[in-house]
Amino acid sequence: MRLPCFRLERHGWSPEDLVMLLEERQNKTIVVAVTPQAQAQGARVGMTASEARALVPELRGELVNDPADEAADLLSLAQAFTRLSPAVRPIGQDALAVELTGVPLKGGESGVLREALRLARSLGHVAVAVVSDEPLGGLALCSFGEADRVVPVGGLAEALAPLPIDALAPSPRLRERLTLLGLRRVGGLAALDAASVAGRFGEEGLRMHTLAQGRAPVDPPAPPPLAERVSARVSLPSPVESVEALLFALKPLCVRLGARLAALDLATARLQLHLELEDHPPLSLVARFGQPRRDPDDLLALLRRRLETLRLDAPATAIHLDALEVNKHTGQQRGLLDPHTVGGEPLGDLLARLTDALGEHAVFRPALQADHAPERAWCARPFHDRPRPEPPPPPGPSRPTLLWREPRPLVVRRNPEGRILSVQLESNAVVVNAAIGPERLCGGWWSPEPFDRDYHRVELADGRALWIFEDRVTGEFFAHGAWD
Amino acid sequence: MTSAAQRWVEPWATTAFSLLEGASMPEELVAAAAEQGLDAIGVADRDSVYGLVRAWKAARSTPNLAVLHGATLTVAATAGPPRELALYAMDEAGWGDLCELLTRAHAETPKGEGLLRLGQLLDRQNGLVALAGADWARDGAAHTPELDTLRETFGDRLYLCAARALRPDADAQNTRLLDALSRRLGCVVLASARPLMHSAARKRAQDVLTCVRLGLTIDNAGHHLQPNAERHLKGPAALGQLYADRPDWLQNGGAFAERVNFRLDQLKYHYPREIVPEGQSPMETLRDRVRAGMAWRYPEGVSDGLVHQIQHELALIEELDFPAYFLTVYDIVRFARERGILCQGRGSAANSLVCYALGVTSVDPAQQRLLFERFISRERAEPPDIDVDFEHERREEVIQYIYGRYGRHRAAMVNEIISYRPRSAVRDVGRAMGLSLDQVDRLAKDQDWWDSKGPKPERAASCGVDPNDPRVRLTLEITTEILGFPRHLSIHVGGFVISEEPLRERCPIEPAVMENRTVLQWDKDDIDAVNFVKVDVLALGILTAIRKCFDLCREHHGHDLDLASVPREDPFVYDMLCRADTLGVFQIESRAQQAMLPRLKPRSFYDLVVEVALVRPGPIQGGMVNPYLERRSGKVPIIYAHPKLEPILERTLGVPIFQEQVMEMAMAVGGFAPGEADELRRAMGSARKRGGLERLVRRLVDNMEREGIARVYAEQVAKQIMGFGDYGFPESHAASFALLVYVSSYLRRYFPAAFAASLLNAQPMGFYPPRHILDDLRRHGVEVRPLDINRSCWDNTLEPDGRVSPLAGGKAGRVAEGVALRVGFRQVSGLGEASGRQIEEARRRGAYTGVGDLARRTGLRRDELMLLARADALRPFGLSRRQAAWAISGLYAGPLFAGLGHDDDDAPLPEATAFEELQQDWLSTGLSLDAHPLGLVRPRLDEQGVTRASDLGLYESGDVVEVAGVVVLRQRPSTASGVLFMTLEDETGLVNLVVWPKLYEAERRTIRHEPMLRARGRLQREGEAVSLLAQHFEPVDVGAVPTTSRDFR
Repeated sequence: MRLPCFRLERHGWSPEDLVMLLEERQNKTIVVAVTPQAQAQGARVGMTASEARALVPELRGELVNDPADEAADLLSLAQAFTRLSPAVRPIGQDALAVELTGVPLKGGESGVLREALRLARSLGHVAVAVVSDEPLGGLALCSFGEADRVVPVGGLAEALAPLPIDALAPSPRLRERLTLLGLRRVGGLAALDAASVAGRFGEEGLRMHTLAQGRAPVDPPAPPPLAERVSARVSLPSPVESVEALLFALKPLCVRLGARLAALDLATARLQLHLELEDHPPLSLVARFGQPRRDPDDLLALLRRRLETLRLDAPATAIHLDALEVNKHTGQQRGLLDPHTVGGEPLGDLLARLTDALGEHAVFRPALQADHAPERAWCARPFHDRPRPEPPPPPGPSRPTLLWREPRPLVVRRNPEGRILSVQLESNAVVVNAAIGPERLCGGWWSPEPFDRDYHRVELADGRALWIFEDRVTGEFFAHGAWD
Repeated sequence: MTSAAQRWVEPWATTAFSLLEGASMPEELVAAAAEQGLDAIGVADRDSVYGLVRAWKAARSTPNLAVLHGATLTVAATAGPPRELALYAMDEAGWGDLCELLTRAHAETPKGEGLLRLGQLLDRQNGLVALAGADWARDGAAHTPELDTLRETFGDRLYLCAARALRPDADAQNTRLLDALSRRLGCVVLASARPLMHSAARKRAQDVLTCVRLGLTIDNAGHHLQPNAERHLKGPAALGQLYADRPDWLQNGGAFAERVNFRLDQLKYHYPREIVPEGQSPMETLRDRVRAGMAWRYPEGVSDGLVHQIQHELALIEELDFPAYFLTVYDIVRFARERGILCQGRGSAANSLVCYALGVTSVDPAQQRLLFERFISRERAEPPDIDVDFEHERREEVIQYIYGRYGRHRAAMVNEIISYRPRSAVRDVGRAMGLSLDQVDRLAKDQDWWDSKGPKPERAASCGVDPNDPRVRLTLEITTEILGFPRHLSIHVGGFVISEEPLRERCPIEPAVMENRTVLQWDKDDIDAVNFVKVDVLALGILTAIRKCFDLCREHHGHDLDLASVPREDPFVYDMLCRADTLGVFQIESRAQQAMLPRLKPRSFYDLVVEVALVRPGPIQGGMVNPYLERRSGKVPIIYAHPKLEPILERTLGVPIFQEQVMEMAMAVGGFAPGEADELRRAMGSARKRGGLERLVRRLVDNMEREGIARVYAEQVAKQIMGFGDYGFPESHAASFALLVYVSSYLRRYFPAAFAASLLNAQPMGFYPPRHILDDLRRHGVEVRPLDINRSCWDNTLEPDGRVSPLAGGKAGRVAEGVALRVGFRQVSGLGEASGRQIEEARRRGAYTGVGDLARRTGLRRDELMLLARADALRPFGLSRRQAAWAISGLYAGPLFAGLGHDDDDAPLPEATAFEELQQDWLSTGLSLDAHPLGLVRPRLDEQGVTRASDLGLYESGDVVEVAGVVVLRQRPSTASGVLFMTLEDETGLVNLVVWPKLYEAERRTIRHEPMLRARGRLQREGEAVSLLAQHFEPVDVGAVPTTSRDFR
């Protein structure tokens, strides 16, 4: 079954919308999916975003920035189809293979086909499907041929024959070679001798040839590794309000999640808890580990800590637990004398706990950033981002020990020569004993925050030293920092 | 405080010729310096003097401002990064030092970079003063080994330079350092702003250029950008404020500037004198050579008039001391002739009987009544300019001969500065501004090739780029700002400078990217400005084609021809030209020329001279074309606005067409002295670059009116002169070209197959791609035979067609027949010459019998064999393209299957359709002998009432017709007021279209980007020439046939 709009539908777009999905490739923005409406107006997969917009100016672009989530969504969708067959797996980025062998077919193959299409549509997806001997052949028919049909047993080769050779997804190089030979249709390839094809075009050619003849390729290409979304959900028998009751309900979820992770040999560094609340919008919160874990007790302990301070606005009716940042489980055991511990707790866990408690904005690693704007001369990096070894920066101009988050307006009195006499930051004006400057800084003219300032270090009569600047565009003064 | 006698000096400025670093042109800096009241400005670009001549010239109009001549050298330090050292020439010897050091700095570095070791500059610095910044002090002022060395070497000629930029910490630290250094070394400190731009408003452009230079985007350039806009030129007030605490540093600038006295006016240059046998003077040698040459040119004897003329020329050459120059050019031409390389002088040299006698030019000036003073004049007292064309494929031999003869220290080619044009600018700026590649690509491709005013925001939307996006808006603004800035350097097409003294001491010399080439740091205009003598060793494709055609005529038709022996004034040749049957003919194959031929109806060589010169922007914009044609056809009587004009304009029926005529008119009725007339000529030749023409023209008009010439006529002449400012031909140049026009016409008329083969073998050249040349040949009844692995050679060749003897014809109106053209391997796209020659070579041992035999004997790679298969060259093996490709791929079957011995040559591959065959033809060779894409859809086009090109003759002028075809040409001459000329090609021929600007703007995307078009338009007929005034265009879809059009300005 192919879901041609799946990649857009998962973002909430409908086939009637004028939308394209974009991917950055070698500094070009390439269209990787379009809605039928956009396609009708000329946008095509493979165009650059500019080309598509030149044809359809009102076309909206959505950048693919979550391939792992996209794959996980397809995997989740696959689970919905397990009611048709226990063996459902994604193929590529927008198709599912539903294995019908050994499955009791209600209404025969046609019945299953109809049911699959109905199910896809009920889930809000545009879908086409084919029942065939071989899933890749079925996918080719879904993409390039006559879909929503049952190909009789042994009839796949005949069904594939009129399809363009692109239906077999050749590599660009092989495609060029086949084109040179006039092999533009699948049937043309199928008609050739297998040994001749294999000798000339290697394994890829042989695989395509086998498929063209309606048989399962001997050595199908390994599906690309998918980032798994591992999750568990439970509807509560009755709404609960207390944290203890929630934790009680969470325990079996953690066990299920842990087991699922163990089965996949994975571990998680971040849990997302999604609570559906009675007559209220749902609530989501995230809890982090210092390093990936999968032990159910660890999962529950993490959630317990996160929930300790939580107050629910309404009783919860369902819980959804998602394992995020899923990685291969390393099975690494903590050392007895691990130096990276604080009070016996691993540093990573402590930072994760602090992050959960204070928010990501409050727990970070400051790093230097090359920017002439003082407020942008540093940036906050997550703790787990290991700093790249960099040479020490050259000695720069002197900067205040305290840079304020927001510059504060300031009243400045100057003499006719422009010397700063006093500043008034809050209530009273304070005499300036000495002023050093100006240091002129300008830049950011290409950004929404251009700046053009004259900075001065002013030493006040009350002993303070402030870093103030004059905005050269507006003529206003601001204090931007202070020296201890 | 500064004294009243303060001289304000900016000692160290950088222009845009510090490539991708400076953000103002030299002229802008000089003008700003003068405007702000500076007394002197030091121009010192990075490792070069690329922009110095411009600065020097700009300073001529600012008498109160001195431009100090220098360069900033990058000097390797024993520790840390290289340092910058500005060096200025105090006198001519100092200039020699500077040039020598710059030459050394570039000798071993990649193109565009310079680096000098400290030890390399110690022996060449006596005439220089040096400026070092505070960055030379390593770990404070105490430990400065390099500075100590410089101080020991330069003495008091070493200065320290402060460069404040409103950065208090750095400024204060540098002040401390410079004070300490000054005390310890005893050096004087100068105050500077180290400007990178003439105005702070250029900061954006400077930031973007920095990004381009470093390959960064503006978002990640960080500290590579200047922290503020203070590196701009500052006037006295700003400098005084910046250095209020150090007035002494400001004061020092005056004395420094007084030491730097060298100006380019003082530069001395001499022509080499060694082309003279021992014991003879150059003049004696020249007289000997000319005497022999006259005997060669005029075997029947020399008339008195010619004797008088030659004596006049020789006397002037001797008086102006140019004999060595003539002998040098003679020597180059002699070398070419000895090697069998076809060559011919062009330009004003064709005015000279001496040049004709020496064999430098081929047009007899006596017959053409050419003006020797146009070439050399006593009033001008400037070196003559001789341009010689050589066969383009063999010019390199001539270039290497010159290097070998004079040595690389005395001979170098002239630089060519490649400046930002709209496309290159939008590409670089867009990338630096972080636009995605596809956005940049589309914006760049959308820039019309003729547009020099920068990108238009309103067009961005049609490229799929949002013009309201601030980044896009900034990109377009900055693109416009940097148009004309130098981007990188290249080599002039052929300009050579040779000197008696070491040239590298007159202008720095750099190795070029091209192997075995060395170039000066100055371009053509700079060379002219400093009065160096240049020989243009130019490459001309038609000379290659003509020489190859002579060879083919000799080999296949038994006619031994050369430029001199081609029969002149053949009426059958002129008949052909009157029919505008000129595809492939030099100079007159363009749309405009073809349209003119049936109107002008050339019947003599001089008509060709006029034809060549008439279809040029000068005469067209001056409105001279119709008056000339009307007088020629007798519709309008030939009258002269003044009796003095009759002898000047008689030969062009009273209408001024050539530059020389304008000069003579200016002298006869405009009150101009010869020197002023020459100034007018120079202004005409370079109005686009320099301006100044209008002032002279106004004076001419006023004087003509005073002479009694009607204002209307004078204004018309003025209009034409202004037109010459864009482009006009001197008569001598037109005459040189006309000779090649005639010779190529003659060859085309009598030896069409040889001529076409030669054109193909000399590609790329001319207006038309190979397909059109071959189609035209077939229309003239010559058989064109396809590629054949057992018959084709690398070149396109001739072979007997078996009908008549190839030895018959070739004169008296009878075309040389009996040959067919065999397409050569050079037409196979992607196949290298070595492979093509290898096929020929291995075939000497017998014809190839199959794909395996071919692969084994030639050793060609699989991809090369596939190219041959795709080009259908393996048909002689009984294999279609596909079967050949299948067989080739079988030769390289994987090892697993190689031993199976499976005979699979008869694979059931699908047969190619006519369309697929055509597609492969066009992909592999760009031509098809069997079909045309329009032919494949002709039934559909017939149903739609689309007319064939060949049927246009059936329609009347004013009829509305529809045509369709592949776009083969888009041309928008700058003289055409925005009109676009297009040529469509269908299976029967070519259709010419005229597209008015309004239609172009309305249907721009279709016209500009679609490879095949259907056009509706109103038919226009001018004699035998037919064109369509377009009204509407639509794309034609015949499938993916690869086409390319040639788009010209």
